[in-house]
Amino acid sequence: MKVKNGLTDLILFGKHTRKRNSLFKSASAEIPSDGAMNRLASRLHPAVQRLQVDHITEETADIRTFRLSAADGADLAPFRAGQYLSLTYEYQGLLISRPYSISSTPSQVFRGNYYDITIRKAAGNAFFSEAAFSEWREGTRVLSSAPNGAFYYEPQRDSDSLICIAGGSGVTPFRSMIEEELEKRESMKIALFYGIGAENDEAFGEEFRSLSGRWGGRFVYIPVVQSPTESWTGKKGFISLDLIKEALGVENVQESSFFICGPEGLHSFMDHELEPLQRPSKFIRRENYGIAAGDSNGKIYKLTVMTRGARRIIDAAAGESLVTAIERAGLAPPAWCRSGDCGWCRSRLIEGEITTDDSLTGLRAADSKFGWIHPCVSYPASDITLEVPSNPIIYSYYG
Amino acid sequence: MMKKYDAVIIGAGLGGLTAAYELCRSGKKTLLLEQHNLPGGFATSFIRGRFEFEPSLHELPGMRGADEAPGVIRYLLEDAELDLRLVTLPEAYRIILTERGVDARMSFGIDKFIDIIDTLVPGSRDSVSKYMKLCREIQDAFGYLSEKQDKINYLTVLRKYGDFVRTGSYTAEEVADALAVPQKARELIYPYWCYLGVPMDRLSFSIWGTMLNSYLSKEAVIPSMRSHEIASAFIDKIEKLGGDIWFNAKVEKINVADGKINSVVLADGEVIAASHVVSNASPSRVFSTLVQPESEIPPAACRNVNARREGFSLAVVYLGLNKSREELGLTDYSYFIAPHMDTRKLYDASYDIEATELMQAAVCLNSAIPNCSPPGTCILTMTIGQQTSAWEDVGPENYFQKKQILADTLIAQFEAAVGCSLREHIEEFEVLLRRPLPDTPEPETGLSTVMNPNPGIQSFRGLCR
Ligand SMILES: Cc1cc2nc3c(=O)[nH]c(=O)nc-3n(C[C@H](O)[C@H](O)[C@H](O)COP(=O)(O)OP(=O)(O)OC[C@H]3O[C@@H](n4cnc5c(N)ncnc54)[C@H](O)[C@@H]3O)c2cc1C
Ligand code: FES
Repeated sequence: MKVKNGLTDLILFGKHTRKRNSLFKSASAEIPSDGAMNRLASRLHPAVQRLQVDHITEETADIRTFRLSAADGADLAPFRAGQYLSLTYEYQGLLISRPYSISSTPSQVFRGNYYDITIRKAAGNAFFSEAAFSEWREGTRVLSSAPNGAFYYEPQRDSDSLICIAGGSGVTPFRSMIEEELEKRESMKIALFYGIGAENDEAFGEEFRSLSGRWGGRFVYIPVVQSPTESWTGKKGFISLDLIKEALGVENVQESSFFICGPEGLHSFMDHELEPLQRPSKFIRRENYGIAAGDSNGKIYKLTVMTRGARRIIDAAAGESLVTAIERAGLAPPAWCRSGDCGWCRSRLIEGEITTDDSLTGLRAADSKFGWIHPCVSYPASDITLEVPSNPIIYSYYG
Repeated sequence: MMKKYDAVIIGAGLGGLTAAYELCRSGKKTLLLEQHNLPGGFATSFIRGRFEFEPSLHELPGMRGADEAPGVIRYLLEDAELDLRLVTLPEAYRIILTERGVDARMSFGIDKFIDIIDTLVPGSRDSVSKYMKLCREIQDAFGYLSEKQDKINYLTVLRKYGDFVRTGSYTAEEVADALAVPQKARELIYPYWCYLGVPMDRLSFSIWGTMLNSYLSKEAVIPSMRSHEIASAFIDKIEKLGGDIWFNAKVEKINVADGKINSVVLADGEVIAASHVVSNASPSRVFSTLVQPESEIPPAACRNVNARREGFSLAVVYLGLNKSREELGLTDYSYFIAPHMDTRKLYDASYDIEATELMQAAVCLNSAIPNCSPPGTCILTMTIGQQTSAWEDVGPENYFQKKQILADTLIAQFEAAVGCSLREHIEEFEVLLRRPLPDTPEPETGLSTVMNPNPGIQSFRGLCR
């Protein structure tokens, strides 16, 4: 075969190699740079964000909003309204971390370089929330992950009529979503049903009422109080389908996307309530704030934790997730969402039996095949050996 | 006490996994370090709702050079004996060129491929056959070169692979001209160009020819559980061979003294002694941030990096759809969709992130793996190549919005070309930008890897031995 002519083709081939080599030789010998794409990526997904408490607002007796700004002056990572941060803080000698939805809007990051998070002091065995309430002051330092999670309005997928259902502290992401999405698109309509125990549990009530004034019919705010005092004239009891239909009209309900955020109990209740609507599951988005504890039979098992070849043997109670057991032992396991979703706690089960709720775990198919688990939603059913990756945040915290 | 290894491998992408496996197998004390908590690099998976998405892999081609040389798939399954289930793809691709009225399904197998083109472009058989035979010779020549490595006999090359030599300095377009391949036939042959990201009038024919032959000559496969299955199977294997693997272990420094590596330092402060480091992190990353002190960085290595230009970076739109592929009319596995096959124009459009005159490569995973998503649903992904520089002016403020614009363009293009409606069925949605394909050479034929005896290194850096 020939392309130009036999001899030329051969000569060009010889020259080609020389040309290539000379291009290598004449290139700059400067140290190469790492590229613009990588810089954008590290702004969007920083490994760690160093934050400090700037300001504390008392929302109710047991709900506080903490304004967190960059302790090191860095530009905070942008997020989508509805996403959460995993915060890390040392309390009583233990390095602990918990996910908190961001309650400020994405535009506040660009305008003021801060995030608000709103914490409700858990009743009973509060730990992180207790730490925040008892120790956090202006200037307190905490570490944070990049923003995470998929609980946000997505125009390609969702209806632009949103029915938001919050249980207790589950109201926090909606404070961000409502402002942001109403502002951003004119076609957006939002209704917020906010389930609370008593009137004085209502956080952001004034804000929501003034927003509904400002946005006219585009934002409907309906607090629903479980056991109100006599003077309460609003909705009472639970957020039932009937209550939603009555407030919005049947047609609106049929066309909306539901965003449901709160503890496990709220989700099972709403699943049941919404069933008669036969809404395709794409229109029902959930954020689960608390996974019910596993079966506690009082048993304590032996958990061997292996990290980079080092071994530690600790106790693990049957009703407690493996992540909690490891955290309690002071070994600070990697964990962000603590609800099976994000995969950050992914570890290898070397030996032993666990129980887990398959519907919760966002485990990859090949992970199941090769024996990896998400310890945040796994409970021991025998003695266990687990290989847990080291947690980079420990080093960031202690330097 | 400082841990000590014969070899440290930075990065558990397919390249790093392969290296770790080979080193463990040959009895070396090996440590594989990965900055993320997952193995695989590009070869991974991610979950949204009920869907587990394949982030990047479209197909693993047979990639056999000379028939006796082990191909990638044989390597994975027979040599490394990975615990993997691979699924064979139904067809090579469907090509739809909306402005040209082209809509054709192309098969694997060179003979079948030629038959289809001859039916659609009567009279093309002769030139296309010659063209495909030439592609085969190119791949065989590369097979010979990579087998002989430094014992290459150039007379043998000239005698056995003369056409490889004669076409070696030309572009893909020049060679098609020389063989008088009809333009209409080229439209059907060229879709894979977008995987290389260099227009045909600048793309080295050698690179193109070997790639085309490797894609078409044998059937292609994908792993049944996304690429994460390949990565996980490698991890399993390496551990069984006694290799150590650490996740969340970002290497921050490679300490060099007197031209010799002595240790690596992790971001969390841990120092590991090793005399050999294999890096799966890109050379630009290694030299821009890892090697210390700077004076130990060989100028030739910098030149080698700087002589290259970043190639396409890929943007992918992922759709989890709440109807089955049958209900949606997604009959095929692999779709290439463009207005036309003028690769120069399509390439120029890759500099503009809001361009609409573009070529997408879409895959409906369920056409190969029916149960890859729950019954009554399916997964469709749409990929385009763009210049990294196109994203340079995009900041965090408009990043999400730009991704939406891109998704709108790709979804609309697909719906119009295939004649189906996707929008109301989107249950899960994601857009990811992948960093540039590593080490894509300067898009000039002059700088192709034509004399690099390891063609696998160019665009499929993983999976090269
Ligand atoms: C959208 C898309 C579609 C594709 N489609 C196909 C296809 O259909 N067929 C095909 O064959 N190929 C395809 N590819 C290409 C293929 O996936 C990749 O080229 C290949 O997997 C690259 O593997 P690698 O091992 O070279 O590198 P990578 O996958 O980049 O792995 C490098 C690893 O090193 C780690 N690392 C980097 N720096 C450090 C550090 N300092 N310390 C520790 N670890 C570090 C990284 O985290 C990463 O895990 C596609 C790619 C993309 C993006
Ligand atoms: S912490 Fe998110 S899956 Fe376990």
